[in-house]
Amino acid sequence: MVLRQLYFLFLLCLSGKGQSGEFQLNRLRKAVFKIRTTYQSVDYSHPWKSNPVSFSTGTGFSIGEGMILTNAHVVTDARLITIQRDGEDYRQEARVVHIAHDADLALIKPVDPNFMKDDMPIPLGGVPSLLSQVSTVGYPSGGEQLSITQGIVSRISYRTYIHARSSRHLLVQVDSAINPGNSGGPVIQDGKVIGVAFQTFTKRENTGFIIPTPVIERFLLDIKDGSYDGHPQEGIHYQRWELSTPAVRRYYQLDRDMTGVRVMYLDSDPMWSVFQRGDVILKIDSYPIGGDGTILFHGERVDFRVVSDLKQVGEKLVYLILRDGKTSEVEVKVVVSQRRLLESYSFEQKPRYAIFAGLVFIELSQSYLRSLGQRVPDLLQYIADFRSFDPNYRRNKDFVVVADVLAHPVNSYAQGYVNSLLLAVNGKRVRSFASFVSLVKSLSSGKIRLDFKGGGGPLVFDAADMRVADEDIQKRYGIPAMDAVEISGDNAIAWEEK
Amino acid sequence: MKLLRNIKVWFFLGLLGFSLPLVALPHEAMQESIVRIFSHIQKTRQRTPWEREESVERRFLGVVVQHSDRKLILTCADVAIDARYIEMRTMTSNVSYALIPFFVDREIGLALFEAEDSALENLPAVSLAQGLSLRQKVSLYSRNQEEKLTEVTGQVSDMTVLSTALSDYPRRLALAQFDKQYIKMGDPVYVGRSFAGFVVNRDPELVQVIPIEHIRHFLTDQHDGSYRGFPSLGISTNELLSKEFRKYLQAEGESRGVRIAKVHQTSPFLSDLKKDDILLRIDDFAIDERGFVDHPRFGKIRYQGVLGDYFGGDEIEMEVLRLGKKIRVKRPVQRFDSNRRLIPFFNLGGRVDFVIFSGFVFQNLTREYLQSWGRDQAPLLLRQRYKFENPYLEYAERSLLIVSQVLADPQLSGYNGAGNLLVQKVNGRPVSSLYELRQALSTPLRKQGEDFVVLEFHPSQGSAILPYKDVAAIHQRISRLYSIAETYFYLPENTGKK
Repeated sequence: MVLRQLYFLFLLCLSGKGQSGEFQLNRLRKAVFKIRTTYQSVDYSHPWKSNPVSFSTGTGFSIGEGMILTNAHVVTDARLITIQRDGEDYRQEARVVHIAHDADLALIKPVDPNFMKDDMPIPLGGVPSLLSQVSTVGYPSGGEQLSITQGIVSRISYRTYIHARSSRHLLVQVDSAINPGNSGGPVIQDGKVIGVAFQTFTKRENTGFIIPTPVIERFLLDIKDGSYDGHPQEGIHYQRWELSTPAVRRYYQLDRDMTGVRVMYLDSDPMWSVFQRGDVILKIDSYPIGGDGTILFHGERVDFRVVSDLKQVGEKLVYLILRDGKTSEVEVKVVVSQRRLLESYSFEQKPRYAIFAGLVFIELSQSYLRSLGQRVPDLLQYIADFRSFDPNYRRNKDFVVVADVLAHPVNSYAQGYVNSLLLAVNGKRVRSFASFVSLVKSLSSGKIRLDFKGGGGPLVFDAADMRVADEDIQKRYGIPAMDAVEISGDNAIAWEEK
Repeated sequence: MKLLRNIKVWFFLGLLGFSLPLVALPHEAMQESIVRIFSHIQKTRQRTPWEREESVERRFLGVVVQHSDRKLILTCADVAIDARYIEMRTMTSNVSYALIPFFVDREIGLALFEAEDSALENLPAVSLAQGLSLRQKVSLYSRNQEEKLTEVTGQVSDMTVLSTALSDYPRRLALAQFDKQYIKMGDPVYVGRSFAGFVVNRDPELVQVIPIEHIRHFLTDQHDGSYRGFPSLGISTNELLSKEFRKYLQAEGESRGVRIAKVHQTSPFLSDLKKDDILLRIDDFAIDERGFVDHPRFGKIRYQGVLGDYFGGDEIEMEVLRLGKKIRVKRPVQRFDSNRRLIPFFNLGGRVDFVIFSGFVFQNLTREYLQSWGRDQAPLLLRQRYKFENPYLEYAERSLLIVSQVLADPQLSGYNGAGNLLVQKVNGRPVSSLYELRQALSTPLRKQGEDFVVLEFHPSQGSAILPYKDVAAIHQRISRLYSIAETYFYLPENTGKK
């Protein structure tokens, strides 16, 4: 009798487990969406146009309040977004509510709020531990249905998020398959989201990356006030392990137990102005910094800059530094200045441009350089990477480049000037795009001399002839507007009306 | 009758027998004036300059020339590149004779060698052609797989002005078309039985030949004991095709001439000419708007091509137009030296000057160092310096110093793996040569009772702090570990040897 009771208890437990698994699958089917995006990116060489319409798919999942979390790169430049659940035959249009390109995250929601009536959001969990098992859920290419793959956590680090190029944040590496279409999908452990699948290492197998919950939570907190501020600049650049060099330790009079990093150079944001080159940074908030620049963060050693990276605007950081043989604490208040176009890719914005004498001038940006593929001229890449160190370029607010030459008799000899950097107009040094346009427009008569670097000699135009020629060029080439000097954020149709 | 017929037959046979040597003899004599050259080269590894690559043999042809009271071998300067041992054999004998460099002019690409043991005494010297001009029929001689001389005929189809791998001096070259594919650098070209030039390069269609005029110039220059060389004006110019630009420069009525873009520091015309002057004429050669002159023998060639007819020290008159006014200036021109730049063009001997201090390998940045990475693969900061910040120098002692790599050592643990660092200061002193580096290394900075060496690099690359007192031990360890001769390490006298 006892044995029979034990047997029934055993069966009960088994069926309960089966029911729990089925519940999880149902929940995933309700909460995880296939996202289809029709998008159109900017043609950087002809910025009044867009590239041909393209199509991509990704994944998103419900996090509550009718919101779906996905990657920014899944919905960037969207013209139409639709979402669909596994097992349903209905697609619902959705719109972007908030987008964070630097963190590669976006919140979208269906146009019809009733669509999320039976919502079963998946709660967020913590940072997973190494070797723990995770499940990647999504809609990768190779099929239409929901796909679940399993893997383990391989590494926790601080690495580049390639969508915006310049940003580094906390990152978790897993060995489960993350394929095209998986982007934006939840990675789950014990029924909770521990990350968003978003990028993979194409040259290596079993290497997928997920955005962990601290970065997600930072994003969700940032947008609570209705607008997204973004992550602060990295700020401090150092040489890893430098303070492990015995001579360096003696030079800086570091005690035996002192570890940290030495400031090599600083980013330009004023929030970093409290530091000097050569300062030794020993601690950030309560975290002691190791000789390789890492701190113990969620059980793993990660670059210390992860602490400042996860702060919100207005929050404070406290650093313990060693300067001139003395330790002191410095406080830094987090500010986020507008990300410059030469530091990261830009999205949802048509670039500024102006056409004069058929020469298409644009503002130099990382997105423009990316559009050139392998053909990036050294000069332009040098300006993008080293301008703040070069006295010739340090004072520039932005840089003006010839993106194309629309052939016309007025510019017969200018074909070789594509990708030349504009230095001066009538001898006056060009330090910003807006000032360049304003200067040229103000010249209604006389000669306009443009001096370049990276092209041939100067180009000279008669101002009056140029105006006439530009009218002709606009007609010949069907250009809607000959300039766009203000940056507009209104180009993404999928943005929700606020 | 029969006897008469036999006499006729024998007469003709006899005539044939006598005539054969009359046809063959000049050809044999000409063959004897062409020699085979075997250059055994061994390149230095640019990025590990204490090592050399494997020795390889390169084969060329040369011609015997009469030079004052002796005979020498004339060939292309490429024979001497990285050469460790050079020998010659005639076309008909395999006896080898060592060749010793007599004189090499890398700018024009020609070299003279002496042969040991009076090997050339009995060889006939070539007769030199008068000139090489357009549409001239020419013969080219090359050695086939069996080491025999073969002849192929062609025609000069054009004249051009180009620089080469050894120098950026603009040489006048004849372009000739030959049917044969297997044509090599240094193959001699003849007009009739007279030597008229050497092959210096080829593309799929045309062979580039350095013409006899340059060769005569080179040989004539050798005779009076001091070599004057080939001159340059020390200016850079742009085409001036734009009518608007001419109006701007008040040169409306003048359709000729090119714009002077830069007057280099080393130009003899530095105090006479300015940017934006229009160069109209060099001596009797009027320059068109694209920079071409009409040469009576060579047709339309770039104006730089006429400079090969002058010697260093010759006076050249130039006529320029400056804001509507014609100005004539006449100055003695200097011998061109493409290595008289911050980053030298080419080191014929292949030697790399370097110094190792405390594991840091210091060497001058050279074009060969950049090329050792592959085309456009060298670090951007270094490439950019070469392309845009590489002036001609009054004195050749200045250079751009780099740390090409850091040889790993426990005392340098923080710097292991660093490399391609642009050195700006050592111990607070700017350094622009290996000599200045040694001087600066000998004056360490004292801190806390100990001497240190502080290296400052480009601001984006930070700095390094090195021990001074332990440097001898570091050198010994590295020397042993990497099998580098201790002579390559710099040990200041006051470091206190172990």
